[in-house]
Amino acid sequence: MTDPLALDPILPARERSERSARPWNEELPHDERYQLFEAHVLGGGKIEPNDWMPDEYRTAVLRFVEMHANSELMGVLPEREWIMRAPTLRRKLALTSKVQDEVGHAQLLYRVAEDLGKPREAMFDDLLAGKTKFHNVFHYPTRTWADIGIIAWLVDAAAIVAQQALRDSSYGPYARTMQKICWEESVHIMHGRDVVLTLANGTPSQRAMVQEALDRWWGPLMQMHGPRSDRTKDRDLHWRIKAKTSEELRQEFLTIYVPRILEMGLTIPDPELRFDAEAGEWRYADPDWAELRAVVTNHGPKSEERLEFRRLNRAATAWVREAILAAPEAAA
Amino acid sequence: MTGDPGGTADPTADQTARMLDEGDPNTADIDRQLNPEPARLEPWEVFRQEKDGDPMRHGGNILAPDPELALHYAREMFSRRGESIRLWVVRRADIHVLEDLDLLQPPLDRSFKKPGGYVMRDKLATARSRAGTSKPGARAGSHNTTGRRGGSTGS
Amino acid sequence: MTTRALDASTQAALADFLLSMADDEFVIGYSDSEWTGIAPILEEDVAISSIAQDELGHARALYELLAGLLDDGRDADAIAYDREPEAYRHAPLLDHGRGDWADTMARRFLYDTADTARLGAIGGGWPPLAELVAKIRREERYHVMHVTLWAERLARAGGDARARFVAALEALAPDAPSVLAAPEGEAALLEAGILVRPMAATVDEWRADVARILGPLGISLALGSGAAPRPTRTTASADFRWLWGEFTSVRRSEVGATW
Repeated sequence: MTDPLALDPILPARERSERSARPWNEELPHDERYQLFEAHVLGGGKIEPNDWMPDEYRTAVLRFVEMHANSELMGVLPEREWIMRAPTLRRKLALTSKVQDEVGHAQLLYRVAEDLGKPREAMFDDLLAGKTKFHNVFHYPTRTWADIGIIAWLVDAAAIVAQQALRDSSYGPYARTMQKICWEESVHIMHGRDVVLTLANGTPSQRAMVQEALDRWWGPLMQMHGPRSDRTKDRDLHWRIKAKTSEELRQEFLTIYVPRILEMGLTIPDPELRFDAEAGEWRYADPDWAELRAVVTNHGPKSEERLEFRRLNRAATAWVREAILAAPEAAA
Repeated sequence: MTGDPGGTADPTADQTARMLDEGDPNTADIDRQLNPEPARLEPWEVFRQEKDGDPMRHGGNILAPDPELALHYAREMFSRRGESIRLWVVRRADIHVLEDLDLLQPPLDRSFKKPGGYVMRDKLATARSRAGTSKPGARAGSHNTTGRRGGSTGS
Repeated sequence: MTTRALDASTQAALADFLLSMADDEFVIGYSDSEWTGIAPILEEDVAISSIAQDELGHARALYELLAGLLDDGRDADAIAYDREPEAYRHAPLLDHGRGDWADTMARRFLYDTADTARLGAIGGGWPPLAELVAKIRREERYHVMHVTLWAERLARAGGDARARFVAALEALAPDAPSVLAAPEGEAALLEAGILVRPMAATVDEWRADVARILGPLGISLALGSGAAPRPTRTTASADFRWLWGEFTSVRRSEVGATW
């Protein structure tokens, strides 16, 4: 809205800030405004795109959401390879729909990130140049149909554990987006679990196929949330962009999914895995953190191939994006 | 940044401070004048009604080049599971935002605009004692002070 | 369902017609689903994927009708997946690979307009089909809207985009009437009221629809001669054999298993 002279601040800045839903305002000195902003966020307040925000906050949210968006976009590729191979009409529909949802999630998340000031094309540039990252699990190959079940069930389950905690994010558009995403992800988990269960109940070679897939995916799954970290040093926790530490998420994942994996007669490939009732915690073999570091810096088994696939594909469709921007004027 | 709810903030102390480290931010503007940015798909805000009688609520936003494709994409992004029964799209640039939130915080008494601003218990007690009546039962009351119909009469 | 008893020749003609339509929807659904994850714009990616899923949903419903009609122990999946490539009856228009976005939109445009005309030619002679067609037409409307928007935008963009789109239309035009090739038992289908007009009349209607949309865009397309085309629906191109190899690969890895 235009700001006519008549509406110029009447109350002193400090008094205005005490009364407003947004306690900081532009007349306050930077440090004071920063403190009010921080207190608002730490007290459970939400931030909206139009609000003033310190650069530290904007950058932290942008980096977090951009990485999430990149992961949805790159996460499309391992499953996409099997869209053409799904073995029944219903599986074909479910898998196409599932991958479509991941594209939709990338869209929603890139929109959130774009509104923080970085255009979509710039984010694609950085992703494809290897300047920004995507989650470790999307750097691995999908070798059999069972991988499709394990990814949709367990990779999505590990992700949803994290995403549910993000519904309380301090950044309003991200929190709202996560509500929609979690709702859709819950369908994927059912689809994945149904695929795994069908294979577990199937022929001996189907059972072997699903066990082999679990064996391959368990390591990356355990690495997925990252190493234990110091809660007090985590910038994203401080700003309430996220709510839980990596270890809290991993423990939550194990608590829900270990019993569900075992009840199907599958074996988890970690002899050290057990619940320590005394400590109230799962114990497990230390995940291979060196592998995680290598993989997320694009040295995973499929990192370069998938990035190259995206580069080629983006170049091959550039003419369409140009055409559609040219079209409305020509039509007018 | 009128009409651009997602726009980036104006120059702030943060940027000023950073400028000292990273140089003059105005060079970016000069670059932009020399190399204008290519046309981009623009954001459209999507409003959706979930079920009959509900208000239209903001659902999110999409990028599209024109209203027709914006409607197509709104349908895809916000109703491919049939979760909306009505959709609106509006070009984000056509939304104007009230920047000064203080204007939404009345500084003086507005209690006369709200039902809670009318407290009559003592006056009613005085009136009853003057008229020699007693407090009516639930059945007799047709309206309460909020203007809603008496809840328990089942009329 | 109220299924009137059909005589043997009508039933054979109907089965043939259902299989052709189902295979058309199945194959175009597969081709379009290849765009999921890699379409030109994220929003469009979601849209084209929905359309692919719609087509596969139509295929599934048609195969289910066919399974009920044949009653030979095969379910919809068995009919859809457990045939040799030569046994598929999709139209030659759909026998090409996915191609680029211009090829995809050109194929969609020609197919959606032809399919709309074909659906309009189906009468109430066999109620299960008539009921399904009423549902399919509700989704097909959206597909025509979508592809018409793209046809307009590509054509009006001029330059490379228009050239690509026009070239794709021209390359596919000779195969396009194949969607509306008269089915083997057309006379029986007309007699039973399953079709309300011969395909030759439907082709004329379709040509008029195409001209009505492309005319204002300055594109004129030669869509076969005035005579009803009768190209075979039994070709299986190298592109289709690749597709078949993909969509049967998991299923063939463990024949008879539940997936």
